[in-house]
Amino acid sequence: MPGFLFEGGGYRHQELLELVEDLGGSVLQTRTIGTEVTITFFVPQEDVGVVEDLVRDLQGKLKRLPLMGSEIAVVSPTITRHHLPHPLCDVAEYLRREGAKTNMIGLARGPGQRTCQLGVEERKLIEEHDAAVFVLGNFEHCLKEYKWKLFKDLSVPVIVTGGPELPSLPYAFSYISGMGRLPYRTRTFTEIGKLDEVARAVEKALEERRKKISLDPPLLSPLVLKGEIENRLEEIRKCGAPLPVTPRLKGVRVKLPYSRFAGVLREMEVAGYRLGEIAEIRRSLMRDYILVDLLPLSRLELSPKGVRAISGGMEV
Amino acid sequence: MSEKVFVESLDPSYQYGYGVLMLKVIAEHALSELSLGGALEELRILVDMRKPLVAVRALLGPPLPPIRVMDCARVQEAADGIHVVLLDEGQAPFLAKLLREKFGGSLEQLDRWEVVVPAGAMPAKELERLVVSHPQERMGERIMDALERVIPVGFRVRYAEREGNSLLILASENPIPDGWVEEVKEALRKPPSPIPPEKMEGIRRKVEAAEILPKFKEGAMPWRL
Repeated sequence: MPGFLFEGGGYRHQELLELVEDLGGSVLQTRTIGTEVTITFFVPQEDVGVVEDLVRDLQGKLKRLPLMGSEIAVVSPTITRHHLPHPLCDVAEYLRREGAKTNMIGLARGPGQRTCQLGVEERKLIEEHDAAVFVLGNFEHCLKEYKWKLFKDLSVPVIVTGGPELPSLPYAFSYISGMGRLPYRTRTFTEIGKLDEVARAVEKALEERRKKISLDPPLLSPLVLKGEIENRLEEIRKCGAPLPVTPRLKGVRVKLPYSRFAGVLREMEVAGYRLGEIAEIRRSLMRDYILVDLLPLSRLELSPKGVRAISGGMEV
Repeated sequence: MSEKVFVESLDPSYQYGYGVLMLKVIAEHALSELSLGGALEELRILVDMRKPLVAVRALLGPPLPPIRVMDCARVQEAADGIHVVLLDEGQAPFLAKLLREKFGGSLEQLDRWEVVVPAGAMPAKELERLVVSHPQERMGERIMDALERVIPVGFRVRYAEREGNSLLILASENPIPDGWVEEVKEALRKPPSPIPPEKMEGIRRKVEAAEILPKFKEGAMPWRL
């Protein structure tokens, strides 16, 4: 299902929300600021025309967000002034405008040649995301000979940006040049074009992951799960975090403390099944949040009496 | 303005590589952001990423004189004492600290800008000559900040040498042998070689010309449009 952003007046915006619901889509977020409303939502591909007609009628703006429904890690070798804020913030902000939920991660031992390495916790944290963008430096020798150590063992697709022109980098899904260590913000058309290249590479990586998931899909969509959790858990409404239930390709991230709510989520009934039976619920390395990974059908044993996970790993 | 920043590669196979050219842009930005254009006479950066080694040699400009009370405030003698009126707000914390140390609780503050030193505490001429701050000390911190921004963050093993107005820093992530220091000094004895402008094409940011709307053009009267 493609994602969209609606921007327009608050008047009659309820009609759009109702239409998305009727079409079997899902509303990700609704923000009302003054008289303006911003709505992010998914609708099935075949019904996009109906939505476009309504938006035209409401005199609003509709933008397609190709990265919506994904969570991307934007990784920097350190959090020093050498690597932050430009261009890391620019990459993260551009991906956000394309619909992704981005988290910026600074590594503890990312800089240097011989000394650069990725810790076990850092690897697990990055692997909680759907894809990772590594924003690296300007020296060809460092990139080609050493920096691949940082993303060699990652199981998620890695898009690397760096300064010099290189055809590719080992272990990277894609390499984008011209976006290495910059001392200024990206403002010109050429620079913004580079950000767009990064977004397109991420889109391609996500598309491939989606294809792989569709070969052995989970019992229900992460978007349906997100809606169910939001409807049933009262505390979600009191949660101050942005996007308290963040959809990912294989599940959702629930921004509530694991110790209090993991049990509640396990016992929650979703689409006639206990969530603990059809998903792996584990503690996130990010702020004690909860990760819900929907199990693929091949790992579930469905029977008239209920459902059972075939292999272990339901509780971690 | 003559060129101040020179970046050279010690590795002949990587003379005008992207990293070398970009390091020049980064160094120029660091100097500009920290307003160090006048404080440095020359900044030479030597790079060899295969060792790995980055050497930075800064030639410091003439030392800045200390700032006295007469440089940042107006001193007026009156019947109730000596009035000190602050003119340069940037010196306010240093002047306030100095006056508090010298005269303690006997000071009277009239407003944000003006204090009265009790009559007879010190002659006005002597008060005018008191040193408020040493810009050279603060400049040193800024110069070190600029050099830190140029040196890659992973290069934590350092060798530093100060001689007259020259400051040399070698940085690497491996122990620095004496041979490297000699090699860098030998390279620094040669005159700096500037990067040809055509090599910087496509590296330096080029801002596309934007069309200026008629109402913002010089001489336009937007309120009449």
